[in-house]
Amino acid sequence: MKFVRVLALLAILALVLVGTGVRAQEGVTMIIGWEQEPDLPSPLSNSAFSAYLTNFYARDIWGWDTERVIHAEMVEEVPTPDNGLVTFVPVQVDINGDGELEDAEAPQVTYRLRQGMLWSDGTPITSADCMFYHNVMMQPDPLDSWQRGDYPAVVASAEAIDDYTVVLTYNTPFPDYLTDATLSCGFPAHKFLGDNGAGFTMDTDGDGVFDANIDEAPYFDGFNPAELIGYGPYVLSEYNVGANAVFTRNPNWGINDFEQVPAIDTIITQFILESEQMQNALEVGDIDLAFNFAGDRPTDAEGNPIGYYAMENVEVFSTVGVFIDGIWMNSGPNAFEAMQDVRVREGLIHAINRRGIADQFAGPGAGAALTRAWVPAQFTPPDLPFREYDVDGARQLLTDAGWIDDDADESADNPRPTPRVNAAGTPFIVRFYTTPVVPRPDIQTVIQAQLAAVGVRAQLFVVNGPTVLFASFAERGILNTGEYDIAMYALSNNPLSPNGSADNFRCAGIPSNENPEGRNSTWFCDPEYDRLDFLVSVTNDPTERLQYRFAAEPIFYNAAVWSSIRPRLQYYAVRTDRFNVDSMRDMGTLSSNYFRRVEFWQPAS
Amino acid sequence: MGKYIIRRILQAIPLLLIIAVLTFVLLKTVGDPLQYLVEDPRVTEAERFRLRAVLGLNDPLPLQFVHWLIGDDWYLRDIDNDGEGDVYGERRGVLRGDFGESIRVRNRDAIEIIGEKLPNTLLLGITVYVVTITVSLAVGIFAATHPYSLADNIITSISFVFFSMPIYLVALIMIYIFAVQFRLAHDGGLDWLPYLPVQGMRPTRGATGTLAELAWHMVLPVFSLASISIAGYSRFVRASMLEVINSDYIRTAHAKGLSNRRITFLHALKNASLPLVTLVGLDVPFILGGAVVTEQIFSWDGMGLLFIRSLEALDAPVLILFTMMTAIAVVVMQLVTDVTYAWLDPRVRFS
Repeated sequence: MKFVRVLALLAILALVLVGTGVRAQEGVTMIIGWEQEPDLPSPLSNSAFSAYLTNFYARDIWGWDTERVIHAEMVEEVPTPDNGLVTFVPVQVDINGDGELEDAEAPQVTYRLRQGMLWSDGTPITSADCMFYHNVMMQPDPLDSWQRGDYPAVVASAEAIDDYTVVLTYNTPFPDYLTDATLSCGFPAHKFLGDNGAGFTMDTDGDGVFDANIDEAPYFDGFNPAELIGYGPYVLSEYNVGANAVFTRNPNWGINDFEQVPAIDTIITQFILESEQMQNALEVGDIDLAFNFAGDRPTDAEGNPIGYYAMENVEVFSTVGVFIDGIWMNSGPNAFEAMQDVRVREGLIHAINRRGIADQFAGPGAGAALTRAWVPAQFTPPDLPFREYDVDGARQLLTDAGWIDDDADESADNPRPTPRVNAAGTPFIVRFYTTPVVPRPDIQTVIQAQLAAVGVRAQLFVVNGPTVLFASFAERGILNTGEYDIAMYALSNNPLSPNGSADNFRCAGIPSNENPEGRNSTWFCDPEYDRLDFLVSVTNDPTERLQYRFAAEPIFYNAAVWSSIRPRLQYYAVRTDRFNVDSMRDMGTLSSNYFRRVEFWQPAS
Repeated sequence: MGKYIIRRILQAIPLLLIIAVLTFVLLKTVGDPLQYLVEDPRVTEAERFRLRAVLGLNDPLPLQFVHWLIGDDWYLRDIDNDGEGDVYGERRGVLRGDFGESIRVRNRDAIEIIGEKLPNTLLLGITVYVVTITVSLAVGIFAATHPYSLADNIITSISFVFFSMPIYLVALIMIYIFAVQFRLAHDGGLDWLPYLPVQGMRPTRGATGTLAELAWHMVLPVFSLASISIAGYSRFVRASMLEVINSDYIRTAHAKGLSNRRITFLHALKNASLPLVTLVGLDVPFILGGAVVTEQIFSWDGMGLLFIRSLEALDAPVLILFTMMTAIAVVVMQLVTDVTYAWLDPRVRFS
């Protein structure tokens, strides 16, 4: 019994050690269920749920809405050639990569910051903050984990004209200056330059060139409320490890006309890691909003509402996202022999009821909204047809390709005829891979049944995405070694750009021993497509650019290696007895900025 | 006994080294923690190389183990892929008290992260063991002293029910009844009906930070975990007590006129608790590992949750430290169990 007493004593001691908590909040408080505990403030975090938090305490240069319209946030207006804030300067660049310099035009973009903006610690936001970001991105021999993307390669210089104007000049034709390699002014330079009280500075020897590791700045030292400075409607006031993050109104937000004062005083992101518990918490009112859940099935087989849809005082709504699950077909040498015939690939697409699957797994209406091409809808040629569900057409295409129904057992009454065979008697059996992300395995099963109806057997494999399916050729990844026939996963596009994915669709991306990092896992290769896709990426004139895309896209389409299958919607469930859902519907935007308009949310009247 | 303890500790060193090597090799070869960057079109090949280099992931595996053991502050590393060393590492190695930096949570040492979670897990785990041992002793002794009675049969049946249920089912049923339905009934007009919290270590709304709040949030997870342990432990106690109370020395004690209470709790329980000590000795080290499923369900911010999240991110420094801590705890508890045996049974001698 002494042992029990010792244990009891230890339990009490642990209780005392752990026993601290958040303070009670005043005013209107919204509690949002957060399904992952964040790691670090963006941009250093690996976690999407860290990045989402920035929506509360930071704003960007500009943002875009569900209609893909760009709107100004920290600048007076979005730079365009029409308003004179984008001009073009002559440059000589090796644009084709053939060693020859050619005359071209590179954009020069003027950023006019809004005047009167303050960081949450009261310091004015000026062009010095933008220049700080530029200097970090151009830092020679960086030691940190910042993702610089194209910025250092395509940006020539930045110059602060005055306290509120910065001109960014590119060194090459770069039509995506609004969405890629853009300047940011979202990091408080005064926290990084000189001695900010923590003894950290990016320029350790004072020569004007950054040489420190920004990862080690106190600003990024976990979620330290005292260190986190932002420009947004809220400030982080508490971070309780394992429990929640508490955001309260930013006292320095709302002093300008363009800053909407939030109606909600406090926002708490409560870490609830188990999906059933998230539902329970919303149902009993412990939280006010849940998001990022699988909301594609509102009812059970009898039509009764289930999950969030069945709760009283809770309304579910959805917004569009950037990810579209696609069916990818391998046309490469390691695919099943039939897959190398475009008629077969086309036939398989016609055999799959994609609109029906989208309606079933993404909600009514999703099928009608399925995209015809991988690039965003506004950049898809208008005359490109959708490959509709057509079982007879599918059978005919397979037959034309030499894969025949040798025992003539295919009919509308036979859901599982024997596999088709070719002249050598080889049965039509394909390997079909996807990842465990719900509801992909369910969709995979539906597709298997639909392919079976046209005499195609699909062996199903559900494997881990990062470590097995998407791993590189060098790491023997399934896709990049071509050891598959059909796969289902999502590859996001840039929602505002007509660019294709050079890595995934051009000939140079085909993986091999000589190109172990290649990502073109469909083995689609067409030199004319490569030429046109390249022109899209370097043409400044939007009209001309669009024409190149319209010419390139049918080539990719006709190869029948990619087809959309399910748009991935973002779902939200809100307590209607506490908050006005109509004021929140506008929150959903593309990419990860779920809460970019949080300051406009209203409590229930 | 001193020599015995020292010998056992020395024997543990090669064992821990083998565990360290196996864990290290397994975690370092199972996948690439930065694989997600390959899918990110914003990240260039040079950036990937640099980030991998900074984290030491470009080094050969044996060298990575050496760095983990003795540090890499003597090692000049190439970070720009030009074949020449650029910067020295910053880690001092396990043997110099540096267990490495987490890959998942940048800028944080693995030991610091574990140090944050360990108190929460210990709180939950130790409370569960206090409840488990206390209740299972009481239930087991009662069942053994009233064998085959109606109460014994009921206890046996309930024990089997709980013993055969998975923890997640027990937890979800408890939550559904005592947290969700009771709460809905309470809000629906039954003001007198108390309800338990759905999840977390503190209330989501209107928390005051008191210990009572924390204790209230522990009720369901502790009950969920303890109910299954009690079901198993109480069967052990019952069987062991039944064997002991039918032995000769207990009959002699009865013949000498000692009270039942004295015989049961002083003479019988001491011998009957020997199997329980073994069981507890085997189980207690795993308190450190946390209750993975329970912590997940109840959003209890402990070692179990940390383990899952670190595994998802292939965060080797945290996982290796986690495994080593559990291994050390097993070795230590085995030793403690042996010593406790000698205390409970003087016939046991060490040689």
